[in-house]
Amino acid sequence: MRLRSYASIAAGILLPLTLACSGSSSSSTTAPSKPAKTLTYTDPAGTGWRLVKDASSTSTRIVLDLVGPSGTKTRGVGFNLQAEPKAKFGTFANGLPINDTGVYQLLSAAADPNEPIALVGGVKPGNVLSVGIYQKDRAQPAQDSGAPLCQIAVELDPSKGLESGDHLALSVVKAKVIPEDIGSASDDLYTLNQKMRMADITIATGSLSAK
Amino acid sequence: MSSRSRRSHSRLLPALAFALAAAPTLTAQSHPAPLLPASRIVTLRAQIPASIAKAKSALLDSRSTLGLGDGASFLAHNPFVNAQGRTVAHFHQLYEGHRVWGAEAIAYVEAGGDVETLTSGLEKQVSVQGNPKLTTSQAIQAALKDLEPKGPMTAQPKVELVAFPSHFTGGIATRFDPKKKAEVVDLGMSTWAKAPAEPYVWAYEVKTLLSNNKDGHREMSYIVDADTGAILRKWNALQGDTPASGTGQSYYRGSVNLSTAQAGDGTFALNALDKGTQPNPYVASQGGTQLGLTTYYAYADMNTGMLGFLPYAGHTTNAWGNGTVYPSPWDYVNGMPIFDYSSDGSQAWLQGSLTPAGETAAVDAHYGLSTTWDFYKNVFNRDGVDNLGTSTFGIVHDLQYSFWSGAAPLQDNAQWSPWYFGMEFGDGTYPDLPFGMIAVTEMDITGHELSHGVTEYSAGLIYDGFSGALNEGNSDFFGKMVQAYADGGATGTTIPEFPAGDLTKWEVGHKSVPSGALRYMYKPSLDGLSADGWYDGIQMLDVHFSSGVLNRCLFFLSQGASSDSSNLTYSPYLPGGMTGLGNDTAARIWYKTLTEHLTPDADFDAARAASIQSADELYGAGSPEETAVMNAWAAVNVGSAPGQPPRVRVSFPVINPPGSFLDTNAVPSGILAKVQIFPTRTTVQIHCDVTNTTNTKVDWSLATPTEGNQAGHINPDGTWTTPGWTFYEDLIPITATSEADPAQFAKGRVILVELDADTDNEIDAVDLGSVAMAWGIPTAPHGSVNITGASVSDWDFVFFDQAFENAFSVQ
Ligand SMILES: [Zn+2]
Repeated sequence: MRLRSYASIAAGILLPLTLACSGSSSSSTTAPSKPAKTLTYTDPAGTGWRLVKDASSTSTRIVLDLVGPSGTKTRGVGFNLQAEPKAKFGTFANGLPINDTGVYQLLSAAADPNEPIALVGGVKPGNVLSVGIYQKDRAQPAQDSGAPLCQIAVELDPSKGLESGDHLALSVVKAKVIPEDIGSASDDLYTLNQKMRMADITIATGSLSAK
Repeated sequence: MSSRSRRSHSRLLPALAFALAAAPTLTAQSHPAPLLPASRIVTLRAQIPASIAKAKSALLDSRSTLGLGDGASFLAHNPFVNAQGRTVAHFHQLYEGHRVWGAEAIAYVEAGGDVETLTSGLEKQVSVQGNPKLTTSQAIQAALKDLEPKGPMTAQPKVELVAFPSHFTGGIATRFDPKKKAEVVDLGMSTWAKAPAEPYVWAYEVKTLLSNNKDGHREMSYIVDADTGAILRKWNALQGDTPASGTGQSYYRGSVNLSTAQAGDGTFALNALDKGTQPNPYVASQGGTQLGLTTYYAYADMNTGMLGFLPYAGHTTNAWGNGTVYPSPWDYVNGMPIFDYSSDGSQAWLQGSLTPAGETAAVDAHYGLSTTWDFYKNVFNRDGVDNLGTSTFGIVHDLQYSFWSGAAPLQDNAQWSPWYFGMEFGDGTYPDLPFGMIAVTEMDITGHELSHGVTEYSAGLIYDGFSGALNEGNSDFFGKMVQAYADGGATGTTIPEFPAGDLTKWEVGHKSVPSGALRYMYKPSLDGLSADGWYDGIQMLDVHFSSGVLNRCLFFLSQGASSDSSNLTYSPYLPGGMTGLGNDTAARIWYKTLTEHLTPDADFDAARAASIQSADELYGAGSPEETAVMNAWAAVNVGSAPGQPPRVRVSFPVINPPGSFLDTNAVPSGILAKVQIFPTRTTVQIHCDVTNTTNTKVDWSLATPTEGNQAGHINPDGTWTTPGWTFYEDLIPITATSEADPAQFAKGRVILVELDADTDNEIDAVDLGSVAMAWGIPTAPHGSVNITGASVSDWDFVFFDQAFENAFSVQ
């Protein structure tokens, strides 16, 4: 009991200090440390590589589509997305933090539904989401990148102490695509060596905040 | 279905569960079945065809309860009548007339006519789509492409269309690396095919025989997908024992009596006409005739390059050998065996094979195999290997394949050859190599090899995983029983005891391995590799080391266990010790288990339940013999002794559950269930489960299999920063030992892979793009994209994904 009352007192002392430093809106006077209940996301501007909000998003789970420039053909994409520690990356029905939207042809031409595919995702130390989705069979054509190529998700996690008004910075720290021309298996090794390289891209992120 | 049996340690055979559960609660001893007079047995034998028909109709009647359709049937093999008058028949499961690979039932027809069946080894709900697309000759071509014979085939491959359960699909195989003293991934024996999506497919079983001076003697068998031609499983049918490692003057047993044959010209041959009434099928296939157990020596045909064997015949005195042996005659300067040649130079055999010293190994083999034959005949009323009197043989001074010289001596090894229906014995490398063997023809080894044949024609235990461990342990035990029988004069219908307290009698190869022994049945871990008891992860051991569980169990059953913890026969799993039943009783219980109650895929739990069932039938439920069987298994950490509380159990979680890619693609199925794949240079979390105790703490230890590359250490909380090196073959063993009960531990295995495929010094999901680009390209320009070490295939995605997700899973 004693410990608990001490904690209340401490909070009471800190409260005015916080208010004094803050030039915030009127709503914060009644609940300055109000736990966040929803997430909002504003899409970035532009027509290049970008993460845009998918219609399947809910108030507590933002699903982001990776969309590329129309007319650019690719065979796969991978990227590392750094987020504030308070942002929690969500998973999809496949158990992974990346979802296939069906644009890339992940199966080989044999199309055995059980064959292993190049789809991977995880969260590295520092809350870096690292995901990749790639076509493996070079007999499959490269795909136009102007459609949602894959999805990721950010969720509201009550255990992370997210507060209303918090802004959650997102930044893509590395991103590469497999280009359309990766040479042919009949090319000499030198040519293949030159062509079998991933190309750097820049992915724009929007603004993620809690309310 | 695919998850059944072998990986589940707690599984009981359903048909035996009742006996196991009910027995300890019985207070009064029930009466075992009495032995029947010989005349009655003869009558029952004559009725075997009728008994089989009866058993078959019982199996057919139970098809719907077993989940089998009308297309299911059963084919009997190796029926026999036991001493109680019970007819025992093993049945292959058939689907549309074809064998379902690895699936068998056992039926029992009592003398009074009652029929019971053991059906836990059957495949349920079998259904195969479509018809086989490949012809038999296309299937043979697919197998030969993998076999890559260097010389001519010795015989046309044997082909059979089977319904193949996909969960038996092979993939990653492991082998024992004697230099590393550890299990490693065996790339040569791994099949890089994916398990078919359907649970059952049409496939061809293709058996091959090579015996020439370029390939040596090889008997590779294959399962070829009848739809795609993919190799779904392959295995070496030869059951060799390398990993551990008239009157005649024998080397091992002094002067012995030999059963020989006299020819019309008065000369003699090592041919025991009283052992074997049916001709040897392999000799017959080569245009020859062999009746009776025969001993040969190996030769190479200099014109065709084929390996063969010639009889020890034309002997004028019928006094064989001189009591001395010699090591394989080997020219170390030129790296070649030293041969003698026939007068016209058309045939060559190892130098000295026909001298008196060369005959000595033949005397040991002939005497050892003859005694083994008599042992099975007199003690168990078994007519040879297959109980049908088919003649077998041994080849001494055997020749194998060497990369350098074509033909080379078989060295510290002996093996059972299913195709030959015979055995081969090496000359040993001692004293050229100080840890090598003298001629590999010691009595317990000849008994061991012939017993592999008995297993093939009874329980049919599949030669890998748990069933492989049982197969090996069974051979070691009966090898010892043959030795005891010989020591006691090789006559009579019972097995005598060894001198009390002489543990060397329970060492396999005690005399033939001057530096020690091949295996120590009373304490298998004395060899530094074998298991003294079951633990989670034991299935990763070579069958010659996991066999330690059955070896020690049967030693305890026969000789008892000490309660003195300083004694070599003490078990921490049964601290109070136990009294043994003696050789004869232990062997009768186990022989009945092998021939009547085990199916091909049996594991240790199934063996425990089956041996309790055998003890019940022989001596009654609640009998001291039954209690001894339970105690002997408890003493090797399988099941509990009567009245013992549940044991502390330490286990690693299943990473690759039944049906996952790495489960269904491994040999044996399930062997990779708990193998964790991690990236190098990454901090990962190791988990294990501890049950039946409140103190769930474990002590971690980490072995480093590759010399010079340290794997680091695991912190008390289970975190581990993986090292920066990777060598795909290595399976790094991790041991978790219970603090509550230090006798309980689990061994996990880890494979480290390098994921930085684009060599930017960062392991991330972008690396997988470089791997994907190289898929299907035989020679990828960037070597670092080969995650598994082979050219990039679907396996690389599986290994990448597993390692990545094990390290960076979303919390
Ligand atoms: Zn063996």
